[in-house]
Formats: sequence, structure tokens, C-alpha cells
Amino acid sequence: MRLTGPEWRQLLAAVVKVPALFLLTLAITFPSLYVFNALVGSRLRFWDVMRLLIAGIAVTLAVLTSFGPITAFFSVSTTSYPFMVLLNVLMFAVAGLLGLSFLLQTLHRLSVIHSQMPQPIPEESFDAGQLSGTLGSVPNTGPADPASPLEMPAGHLLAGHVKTVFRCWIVVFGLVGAQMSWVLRPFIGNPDQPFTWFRPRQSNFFEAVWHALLSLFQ
Amino acid sequence: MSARNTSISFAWWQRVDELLRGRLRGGESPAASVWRLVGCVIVFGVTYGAVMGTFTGLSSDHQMQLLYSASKVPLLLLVSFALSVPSFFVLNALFGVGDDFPAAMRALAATQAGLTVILAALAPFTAVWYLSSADYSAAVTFNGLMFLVASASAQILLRRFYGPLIRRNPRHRLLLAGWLVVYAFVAIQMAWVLRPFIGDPDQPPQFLRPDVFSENAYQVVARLVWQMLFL
Repeated sequence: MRLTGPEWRQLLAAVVKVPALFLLTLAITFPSLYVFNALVGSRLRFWDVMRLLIAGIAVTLAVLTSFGPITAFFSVSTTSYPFMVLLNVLMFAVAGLLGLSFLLQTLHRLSVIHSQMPQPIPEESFDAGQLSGTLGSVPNTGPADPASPLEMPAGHLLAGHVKTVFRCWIVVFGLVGAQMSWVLRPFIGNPDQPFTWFRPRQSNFFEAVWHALLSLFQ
Repeated sequence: MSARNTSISFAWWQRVDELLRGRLRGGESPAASVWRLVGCVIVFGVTYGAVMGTFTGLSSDHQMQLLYSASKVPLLLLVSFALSVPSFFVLNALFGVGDDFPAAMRALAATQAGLTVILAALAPFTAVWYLSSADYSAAVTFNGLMFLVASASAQILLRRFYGPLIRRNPRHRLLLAGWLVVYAFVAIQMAWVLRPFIGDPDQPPQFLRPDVFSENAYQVVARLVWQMLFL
């Protein structure tokens, strides 16, 4: 049980830390992504890649928000801290997977647009409308039923090396994001410990999740 | 009963009959249809819940249990439904079938309504069980069995209502599977929180157990599994 009443500072800390988690992870992983993306000859420029990644994070946060009522329900109906940790890890993992799927498929679409243009595209001609178009009004170059934001358009392939770079980046983003969440902890706040903005450096995310899982069974 | 009231009652039963046959009447907006189906869930859910709560009898000491149980069945179904809708909406949009969301909601609400109609139809069996046995554990198990039968039967309705959506776009099949997973995940915990549904005859009627927040359903299941496998 809690040492005191509701800890409003923990609520404020979580409100600040969740977007900070994604933005900091992006800040850490973006430079390497941009560099390797340019090295393999992708035509996506700096701001194209940046908008793509931020759109992916926005989708992730939209999915997370939709899970909010479920998380709130479990928050008020259980006092098990390990369970809440595992539940939130699961929610973040599902939302992250969907956001990164969206990112990959949008990358395909941008590559299709690139390949259809006869001349190099000036940077200013790519605005937010092109990205938002992938959510419902994709230029229909394929069958009558266009692919959803999470599906690859039929008949289009991304250049192998660009795809490899992004796939590696997705794995790196996931690992860095997981460990960044450990660095920024606590998000939920252990009711058996006093409030603190950050905890001391020790252990890591994966070990903590494993211990939480064991606690659930014992 | 006046001719008008008789006519309204008959029309209402006709709708229930059509619901069980997998037909939803057209001519009204999906939103109006969903609200009508929510009303159906409340009426038939309260009916089964009231019968469920008669295990401890109808003496003045236990009449409150009947009211508690009657309110909990629609609460369980509707609150679990409401908590699962936001994530379902976002997933529908992400999978490119956001335009079908109202129709999907109508199909899911119709399945819920059908489930409660089936439950209400099974209520007489529950009543006979209560008249035949005073064993509390057996009563809990029997009610669990009734819910299982109603849920399994409602899958027939789910296929009928959701079938057109899946035929229009196969992505709906995956989304439906996702909905069932999320809904079951929430509903199991909701059922745990809303205990007791039947009422222990050795305890006074209570809306919620005093230890409702001490553990959640999944902790209990995890511990039981651990004990079975390793102890």
C-alpha cells in the first residue's frame, strides 16, 4: 500500500517522461539513421526522414492513448506494482510495434513517390500533406482496395539496402527505447517507495522485467 | 393492456427475434442502433442477473443481493465494452477500415445484445439449479457454465453480424481477433472486480468484496499455474 495518499508529483512526472522517452530515443538514434540512410543512397533527405520518424512516433502515441482507459481501469483495480509494470511494458511494446510498422510502410510509399518522379524532387515539394496522405488518400497506383497504413502496397519493393538500414534502426530504436525507459524510471511509481524523479543507476530494463514477471508468479 | 401497448411490445419482441436470427433492421443510423442494442443488453442482463442473485433467497436480509447481481451483469458487459472501444477505433483507422467502424460497432453491440438474450433464456435453468442445490461453489460453477454456453452461442451471432464486414475486407478478421483478445483481457478483470455476483449465503450482501483491490485476476491465475507446475 502507499506510504502516503495519491502522489501527484508521480502523475506530473509520468506526463513529462512519456513524450520525453520517445523524443530522447529519437534524438539518440536519428543521427546514425540519417547518416547510414544517406550512405546507402536513399533519396530521402534530412527533413523527410525526420517527418517520417515523428509520424511513426505520433502513431505510437495515438495507440498508447487508446489503451489509456484499459490501463486506468487496471490501475484502480489492482495494487500489484509488478503487474502494472508488465502491463505497461506490454502496452508500450504493442504500440511501438504498430508505430514502427506504420513507419516502414510509409517509407515504402515515399519511395514509390520518389521512383515515379522523372526528375529529382526539390525538398520543398514534400510537405505534411504527402505524409498525411498515407493515412487514407494514397495515390492509387495499385488495385482498387488500397493498402492500409500498416500494409506494403502491392508490387512495390524498397531498395534492399535502405530496407536493411531501417530494419536495423527499428531494432536499435527498440533496444535504446527500452533502456531509456529504465534510465528515466520511475514512470508508475512504486507504492512502497517514496516519490523520486529518477532512481539511481543499477541493473537494466530486461532484468527488471524478468524480476517483475517472477514476482507475479510468487 | 391497450392495443397500442400490445403493438409496441409485439414490435419489440419481433426485433429481439430478428436479432437472434442475425438480422438488424435497417432505416436507422448505426449510432441509434447501437443505443437500442445497449438497451437490450441492460434489459436482458438485468433479467439474468436478478435470477443469479436469488441464490441466497428472497428474505429481507438478502434482497439487496438480488439488486446488486441484477446491476452487475450489464455493468460487466457494457463497461468492458466501453473500455475496449478506443483501442479498437485506433486499430481500425490504422488498418485502413475506419469508415467501417460504425458498422463494426453495431455488429459487436448486436452480439452483446444477443448474448444477454441467450443468458436470459438460460435463467430458468439457473433457477431450477438453485431450487435443487444449496452448494455455493456448485452455484458459482453452474453460473460460469451458463455464461460459457451463452458466450459460445453468441459466436454464431458474431459470425453472422461481422461476416459482411469480413467479406467486404478481410482485414476485419484480424481486427475482430484483436477485439476479442482485448475485450476478454478487460472483462476477466472486470468480472473479478465486480465479485460477488451470486452472494455467499454465509455473508451479508455486499456490492464489492472488501479485498477487491488486493489482487487482480491475473495474479491469481499466475499463482495457481505456478503452484500447479512447480509446487
